[in-house]
Amino acid sequence: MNVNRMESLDSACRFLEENPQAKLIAGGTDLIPRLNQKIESREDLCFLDNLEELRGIKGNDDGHMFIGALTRLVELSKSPFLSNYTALIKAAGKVASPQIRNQATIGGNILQENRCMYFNQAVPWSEINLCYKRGGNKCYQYKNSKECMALFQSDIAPVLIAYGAKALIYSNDNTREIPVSDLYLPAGKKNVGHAEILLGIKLPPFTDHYLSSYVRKTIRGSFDFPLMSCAVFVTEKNEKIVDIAVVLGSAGVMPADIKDISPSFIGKRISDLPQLALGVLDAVAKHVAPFRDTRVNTPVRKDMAKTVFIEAMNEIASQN
Amino acid sequence: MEDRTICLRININGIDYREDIPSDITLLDYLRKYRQLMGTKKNCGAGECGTCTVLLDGRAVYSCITLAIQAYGKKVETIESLGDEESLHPIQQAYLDAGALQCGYCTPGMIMTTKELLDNNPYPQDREIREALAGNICRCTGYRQIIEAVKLAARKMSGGKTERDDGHEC
Repeated sequence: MNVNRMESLDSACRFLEENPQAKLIAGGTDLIPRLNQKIESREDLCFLDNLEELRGIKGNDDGHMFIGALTRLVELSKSPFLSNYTALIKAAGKVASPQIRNQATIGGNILQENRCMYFNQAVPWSEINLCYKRGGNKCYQYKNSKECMALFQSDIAPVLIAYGAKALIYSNDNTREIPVSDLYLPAGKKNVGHAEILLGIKLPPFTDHYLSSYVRKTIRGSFDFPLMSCAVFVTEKNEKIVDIAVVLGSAGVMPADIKDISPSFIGKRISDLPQLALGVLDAVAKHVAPFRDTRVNTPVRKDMAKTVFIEAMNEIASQN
Repeated sequence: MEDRTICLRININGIDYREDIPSDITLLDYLRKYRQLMGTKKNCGAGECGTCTVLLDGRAVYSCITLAIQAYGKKVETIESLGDEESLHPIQQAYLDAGALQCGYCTPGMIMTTKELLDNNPYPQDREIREALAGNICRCTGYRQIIEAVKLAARKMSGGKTERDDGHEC
């Protein structure tokens, strides 16, 4: 395996085009454990650390906030520029451990590999009969599934989707802009081509009064992937809710943007959210994919979804 | 494509090095195999336990999941940058005094994380200590003595002061 430091975006794109097996590496906290555990082939790496234009948080003239893809999670969690983005700061401060947050980037977090005990949780049985993710032809989670069903467990992605953030993706002197929610495809694939590079995230400007919250549940009090998480974003005008977004994390192969419950909240007051939330719990839990790992089963995961949703709504109401 | 070497420029514990290394070697393996700095321990290889923690430009990172090339042009501090047997660093002395180690395997990582915490927050509260050490696992002590050691180290490093300027007890 060779590690190649890139000096420019274009040279990185060219390198990726010329090396179809090469992988991008930024902070490395997602990829290198899989290399060390030999569950990822040791292909050439395209190392982006030198690309300063992908770092930092800045406000644009049009009111958008831009977060470079190489911005580290510790910088997100402490940034004064993001003080109004309560859920994002909270989520960034909850990812893994301080050491990981010191190294990991927002780009790597939202494009991280999906997780499953039969794939990347370093358990011996994952090597006996390979699953889809490891080059085999079966999914142990769903016997009849034709593709991988591993969970996507990013803390940051559900929050960005709730905010309506956009992802800027670069390739060959061309930049395309897509909603962060469109980054996620079936089977844990990501909507970023092999020779494309995520430049960063655009957070939209908010003119009306808005509040956001993020709640996650883990087995341990710290340093763990979320078993279930919930991001909520609410916009209020004239003391009435005019927009609401609820996104579950770790609920399936991609974040679950729960749009069908919005009518229950539009036109209501923020102080009523905790009570109104109780009326849509089953609709929220419906978005949790059946999945088991070594810790919790599907019924518990559905109950957890209800709990994180209620707690996130309570947090919004208490901020108001 | 053959595995190739790459030129690394790095400062370790105050000394500059410039040498060719395999491009894919981790910082942990570089420290142990090339610099013979054996104080940084190898364990999980997955960024899960914290035994390999070193400071990279003052930030605690897991050296087992950091490539050496990621430290290019940066300053690395390992446990060897602190005291030695004749003259322990206050944090090392505090860990001894508080009985904060048994097998000792996690201790270099714990101490480097403690150093990052106290360098940035000389009077941490218990909650801040627990949060700072969340990425370091100890299977012997049960953590209580480690938290006491950090508080003791904070007092030692602040010349015996036990309070912040605002009167908050650390």
